Amino acid sequence: MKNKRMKIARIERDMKQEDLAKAVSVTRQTIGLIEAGTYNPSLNLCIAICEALGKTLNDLFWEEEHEE
Amino acid sequence: MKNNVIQDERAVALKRQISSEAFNLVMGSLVISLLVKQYVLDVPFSQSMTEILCLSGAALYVLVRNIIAGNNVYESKKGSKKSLIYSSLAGGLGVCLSAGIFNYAKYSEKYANNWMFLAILAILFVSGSLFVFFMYLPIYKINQKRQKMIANELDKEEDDI
Repeated sequence: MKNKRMKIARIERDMKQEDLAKAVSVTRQTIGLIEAGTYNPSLNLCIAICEALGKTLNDLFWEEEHEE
Repeated sequence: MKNNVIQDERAVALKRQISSEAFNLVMGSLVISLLVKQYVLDVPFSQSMTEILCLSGAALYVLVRNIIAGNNVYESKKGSKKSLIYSSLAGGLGVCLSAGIFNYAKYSEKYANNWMFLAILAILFVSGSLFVFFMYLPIYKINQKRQKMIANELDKEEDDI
């Protein structure tokens, strides 16, 4: 499932995938795969992405179908 | 029939790491076996074909698999072009050292003076570096092409929200 929230948060900060990748020390391809929903990042990487985008884990990575 | 075996992610990651370590141990053992056969036992080259085939087969598989997966095999802080040149020089140095030692062990009494041996080392280094460079160059080109393909796919996805 695509992670559109992460993509939108990144665009709001005027960051390209390359910029976010450098900020969290991964390749652009990894960021692309996370946004496409085809790669599950580790918890440490999720936290690093949240810090880079100024969001919480809930904002970016909590799946809406779990909300009740 | 339901599979009741638990797929613990930590255990799976650890098993993969153990397999990777075993692979490195096997590769190291093949290299040691090759060196012992060539430099200590002085066996004919055909006797080492098993080690050479296994080493080159494994190296080729790792290289091709990494390129297909999209991993940049020439990624470095200095840039991929410099990495190519440094790899070639390191390869040339390796050829120079190993062949130089073998050459000195076999033919040292035939050298009139040390300058001849130094000239041989220089030729080995230059030819080794050039050989490694022209071997790495097509791999570098294929890697760059693959990286460009991946960048283009990511650029296409960037436009979709």
